[in-house]
Amino acid sequence: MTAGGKRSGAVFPVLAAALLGALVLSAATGPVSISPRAAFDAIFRGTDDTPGRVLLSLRLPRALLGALVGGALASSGVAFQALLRNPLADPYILGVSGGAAVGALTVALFLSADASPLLPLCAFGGAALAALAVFLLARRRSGVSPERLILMGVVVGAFLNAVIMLMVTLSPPGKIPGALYWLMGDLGLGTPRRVAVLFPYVALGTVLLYLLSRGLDLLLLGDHAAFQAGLSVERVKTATYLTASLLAGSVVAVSGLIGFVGLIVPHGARVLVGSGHRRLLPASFLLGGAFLVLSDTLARVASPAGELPVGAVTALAGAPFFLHLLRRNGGRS
Amino acid sequence: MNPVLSARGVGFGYGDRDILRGVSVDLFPGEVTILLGPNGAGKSTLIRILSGILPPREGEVLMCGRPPGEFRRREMARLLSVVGQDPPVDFPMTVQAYVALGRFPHQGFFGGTSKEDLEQVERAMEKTELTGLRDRTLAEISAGERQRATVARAIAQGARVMLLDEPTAFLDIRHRVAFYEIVTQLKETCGIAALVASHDLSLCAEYGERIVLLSGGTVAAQGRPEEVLTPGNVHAAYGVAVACDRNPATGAIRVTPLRGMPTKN
Amino acid sequence: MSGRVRIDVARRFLAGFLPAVALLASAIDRPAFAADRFPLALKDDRGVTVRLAASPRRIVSLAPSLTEIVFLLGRGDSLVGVTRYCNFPPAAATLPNIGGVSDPDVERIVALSPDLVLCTTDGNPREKVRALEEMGIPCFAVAPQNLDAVFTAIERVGALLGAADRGIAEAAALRRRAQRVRAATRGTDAASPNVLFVVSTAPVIAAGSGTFMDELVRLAGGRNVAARIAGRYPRLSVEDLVAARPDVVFVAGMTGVERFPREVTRWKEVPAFREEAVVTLDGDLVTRPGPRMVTALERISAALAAWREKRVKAPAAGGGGKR
Repeated sequence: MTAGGKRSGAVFPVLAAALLGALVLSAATGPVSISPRAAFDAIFRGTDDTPGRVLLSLRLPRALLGALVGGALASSGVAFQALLRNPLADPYILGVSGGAAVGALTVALFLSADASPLLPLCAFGGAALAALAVFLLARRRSGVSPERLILMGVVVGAFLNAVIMLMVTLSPPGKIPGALYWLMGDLGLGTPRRVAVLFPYVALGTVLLYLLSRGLDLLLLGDHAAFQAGLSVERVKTATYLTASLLAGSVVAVSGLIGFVGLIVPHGARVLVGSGHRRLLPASFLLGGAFLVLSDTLARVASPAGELPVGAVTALAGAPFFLHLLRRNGGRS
Repeated sequence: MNPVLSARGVGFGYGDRDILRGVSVDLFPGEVTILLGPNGAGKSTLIRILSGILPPREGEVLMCGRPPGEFRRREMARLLSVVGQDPPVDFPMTVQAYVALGRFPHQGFFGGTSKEDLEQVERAMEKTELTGLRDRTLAEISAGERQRATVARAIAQGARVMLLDEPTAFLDIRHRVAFYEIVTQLKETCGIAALVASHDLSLCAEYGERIVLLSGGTVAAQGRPEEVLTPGNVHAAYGVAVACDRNPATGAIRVTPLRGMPTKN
Repeated sequence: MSGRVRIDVARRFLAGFLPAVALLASAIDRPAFAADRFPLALKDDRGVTVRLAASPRRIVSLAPSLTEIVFLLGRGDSLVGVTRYCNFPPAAATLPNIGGVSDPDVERIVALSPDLVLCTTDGNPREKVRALEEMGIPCFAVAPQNLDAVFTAIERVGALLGAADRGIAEAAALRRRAQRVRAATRGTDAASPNVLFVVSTAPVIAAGSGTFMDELVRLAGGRNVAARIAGRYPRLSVEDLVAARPDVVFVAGMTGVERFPREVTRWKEVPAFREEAVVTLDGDLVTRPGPRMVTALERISAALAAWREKRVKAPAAGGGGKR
């Protein structure tokens, strides 16, 4: 049973090809020139020259990182939109961004440079704590309602934003540029290690969400209707909340607060495959991955003054694209 | 015959405000029961309690003689379906996809979509005249069509009991009649027990076997249409003066409002 | 008049005339601000004419570089207020603090009753300076854009403070030191090393053309690889480093970002990492347009000279010196 029914067959191969194309484009772009021959040699014959090393140890890991981050953000966005029954929800809405920022900035601004490996851990921890706080604050005996979640998310977020502003004011000035890049969202150095560390979190999170697909479909009906349709609503909501926060938190730990991907990619994917989460989740992952990899490639080459933070590009590209989407569906939502 | 769903002495309220007191209702398979009552009488609350969303403060609810707590969620959903809320319009969900969600109790999280599932969805859409709209999104169709879709979803769910909370509110006469015809068909072919909360005094007399008149949180009258639909009962519940007689064409009770301002209840 | 009287007159005339001529000649020779005369009027770097009735005794400095210049001129005892970043010489750190460079506290400044405020257009907010001027406090803006302008600034501030001779002398000494560095590099025949100057290692932010660091590198005989990239402070990726292959990397050590992470330094294609030619300099030396910039120039030159020596000793091992 197809939920979208439109051009159903062709969409997934096209999205997969788009992601692959984006990865190849990203791997082919950069200041060090790598001929196709050199690339071939590096991949298949293991030659250890500079272009090969740049390709395998810098470009490909960075491209893969972008795909994982983009896919995770998009999936998380889909889940939060279903959980909150709100098309304007994004992965950061329930405290994740504020908590991760406080954790990361604590390390970046106030600890010595030797402590920098702790940064992803503290960012993740901060995100998890904030998400938990929002969840517990929003909880009532009758369960967790979307409206209350959003309210608590806004309150906790505002508080954490104030903490962030205070931290930046009190920090030593030399450390602020790095912190700023993180806040804007930046993929940073691509190394195989970073990819290896991120991969299990993203894999686990996306698979879990996929298994919850039908539950997400039913959550859209409203809590009572979902309950009456046979769903264990509170359990599914908790599982969704935790999984989506895990995905968002692990991504933020690696690349800071990249915006817009989690908000608009789900909508783009819905236009392509409809609202059924069994198709929407994989489609969003592919689309989000491709979008972020392309944005990152653009971020690396667009400015003559060096790399832009990818969060700036996703927002600049995202807003007009979103407008275009809304126009095309002209009043359908 | 044993009731498939019953409320025994159910009471409910918030703080010291009582919404329901001592309500007892039985639903039998193959029977359509109409729940009547003015706004605020507690019809929706009763339906929520019967469907397990709200726990009663007093009394109990029994499903096939057992309390709802003994059933797993999906089992419960295969026994009981509810038609009430407006479907979501914020997301582009097609009518077909929406109706198909009704099959969840039979599929679970991981079950695939079987032929049976497809057939049930088709049938449900046919009965509610929605097949032409199957690919339109819920936001695109009218409120009345959405209401039919909600009914279709409950039909697809294929439960033994259907609780319907004012499902004909936005429907025109054609679709109201069609709705009651569908419910009658379902009760006759599948033996479902249906409870329809309604305001339509005359149509319900035509189609309902039993009527429960709820007023001020208690059951004011319960029984066959001719027993319940009396001028006295209607006036006491709604504050409206009516004349009740039998419709010569159909033989069902006909309730006709008399002119004059309704009195305070 | 008798002949003798005429000679006397002539002698007296010459006795008075010659020094006057000498004075006049030297006055023509010297820049106009060499006169140690008050009241004086001097145009600052904004083009605003600042008038002082007497030698200033209560000076507030709104930038660390200006504080250093005042102390260099021997007038540190006239300073009554400095920014919180003014840490050199050590005596400056004990002076009352009036806020930061981009956020000086106008009230605190006024409370000190200064008769002169030294400020810079590169960092001090214009409105605050204007507020001080509206309160009748003379503000003199100094904003040198290159090393030569720093020397001129020292001379002008010297005149402003009534220490013109000291100003000229100190500027001349600094000019001589800079000249020595330039001469040292002109003599050699070695290739110009590729140099990268960074102000941050994570992310890597380099000093491009138009910055002081760029000028210092060029004066010291190096080639700034970041000068090709647009912008004064471009951000570089690891790949940019691999493509540019700097022979020597200078790090302007601002707190916390002095060392490159290991994942960056393991790229041995970059000669600076391979030969471990990463030199950390005190960030204050290269970000303050003041006297200590010459110290920075000397250190940079010394590092590049050491690089050249190494190359001479082991020419085969280098290989990455040219483009």
